[in-house]
Amino acid sequence: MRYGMAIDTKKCVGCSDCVVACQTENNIPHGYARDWISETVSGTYPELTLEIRSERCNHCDNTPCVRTCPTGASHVIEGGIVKVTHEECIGCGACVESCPYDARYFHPDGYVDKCTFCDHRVKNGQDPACVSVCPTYCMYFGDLDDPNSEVSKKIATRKTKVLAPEAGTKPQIFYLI
Amino acid sequence: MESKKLYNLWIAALGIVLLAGFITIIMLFVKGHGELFSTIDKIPWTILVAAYIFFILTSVGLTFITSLYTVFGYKKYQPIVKRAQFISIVSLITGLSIMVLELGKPLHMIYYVISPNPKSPIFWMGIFYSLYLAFLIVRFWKIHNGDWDSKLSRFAGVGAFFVAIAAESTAGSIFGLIEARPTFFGQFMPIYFLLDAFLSGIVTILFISLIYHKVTNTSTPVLESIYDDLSKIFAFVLGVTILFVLWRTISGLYANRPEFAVVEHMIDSWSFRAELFIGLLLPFGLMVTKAIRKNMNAKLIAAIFAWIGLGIGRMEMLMSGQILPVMPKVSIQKNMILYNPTIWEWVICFFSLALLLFLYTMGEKYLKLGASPKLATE
Ligand code: SF4
Ligand code: SF4
Repeated sequence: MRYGMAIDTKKCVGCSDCVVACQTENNIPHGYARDWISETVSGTYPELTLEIRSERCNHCDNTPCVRTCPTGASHVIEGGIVKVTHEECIGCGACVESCPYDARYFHPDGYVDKCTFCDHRVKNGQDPACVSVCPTYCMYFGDLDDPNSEVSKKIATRKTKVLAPEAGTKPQIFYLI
Repeated sequence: MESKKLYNLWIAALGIVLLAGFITIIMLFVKGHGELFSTIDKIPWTILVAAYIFFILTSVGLTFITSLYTVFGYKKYQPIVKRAQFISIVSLITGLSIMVLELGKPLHMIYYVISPNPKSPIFWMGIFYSLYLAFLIVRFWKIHNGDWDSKLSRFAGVGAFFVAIAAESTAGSIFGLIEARPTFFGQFMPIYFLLDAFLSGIVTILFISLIYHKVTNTSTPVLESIYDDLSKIFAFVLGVTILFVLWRTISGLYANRPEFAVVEHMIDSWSFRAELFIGLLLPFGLMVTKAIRKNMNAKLIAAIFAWIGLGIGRMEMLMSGQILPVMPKVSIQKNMILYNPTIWEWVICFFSLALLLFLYTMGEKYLKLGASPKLATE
């Protein structure tokens, strides 16, 4: 079992519904977010392309954030989901510094927080909040080890990319391009 | 009477800063970091981390100074060992205290013991610094009781030296092993930390001792000869540090990765210029000119400039790794991130400095920090 996501950059309109859904579902304090929207413009005028991406923790296979955590608060649970146990976090910031995606933030209460793939929902057979709320159905969540899962099929049949592959973290979120 | 008045004024000034610090600490625990500090999640390591590094570097550097006698056997330097050893302890305690204040959840440190992660450099840094503090305390206690050369006393002294190297290079590796932030200059860092520690140690012992002898009129030819030697080492270490800073800057300018845009930004900043010109080149110029170096006041002035440079340099190093966002986020946040410490962060920094100076003053008053067997027989 290896959870992951495929996100269709051709379908994403940058509405930020996923951001708001996550904030509501996970009770994220005002002014903070576990996911965010990125926009990249490439090409030269008039041949310009705008790519919009919904980004979050990539639940990497190779995790500098987990390696660097002195208390084991950052850890990997079943299905490869990278989590932070808030009660064990001392707020040293080492994981924030070592994540190449800037996917973690300091909660005002002093600990570090990040995307959990909504594991509390996943346990009950539901999709993460961001996936289920997306109006254009541009996100696919599931088991990457299962070739018949929708997410695996999307990745197998479409051209994909991951963010900052040079960081060597082996992200498990694939962007369909 | 005059010196008594001066002493009382000194204690009163330190007392005011300490009081302001204690009030801020209470507020910190009541209101939390988010309210008092400008710790933005884009820049997690800010001025308190810089202060922490400053104090632990100083502690380790002072142990390097004591090692001239303790490890390498140069008896000549024995008269400054006890003072250096004591300031080393109080500097370490100050550094560790400020680290605790910087942590978002200091009470969770119990998980350091319950669920440690041996792959984490911070975990090893904690182990090494605890061991280091233990060695320092044993060694100081022994020499305070006149035992300079028993097996245990020597073991603690030599042990402190080697553990200090392990601790300091591990502290450097915390930055050096962060691949996501190449502008911390990776593998340079453990060595750079050791070099800077040595510089901090020399600067601090010159700075504090020379002021102490001035105020108390206790300088002797033996001590002056020691400070002459130290100022030569001071010049040498400054020279190596200047080379290091220049090559680090040049390698940053040559690098192709977009993150290194930060180096150009740094060169244009007042802090980089202050560190290089006031903190390094000026004291270097003073200390390589023999006629100036011989003068005790010139040594003190050079130490003060270098000391200011070291403070600015710590901040410079931290910011260069953080003010540009990591790669994928650059599309949202293209500009350098501005960080300005809040008044409360400054208060904590001055509090830590006052704590160090207060503990040192108490040590000087009650623990005879100038004592050494050699001086006793003179
Ligand atoms: S995206 Fe960052 S926080 Fe998430 S697993 Fe990868 S390195 Fe860790
Ligand atoms: S901030 Fe918390 S989760 Fe991150 S490395 Fe430190 S203890 Fe671990």
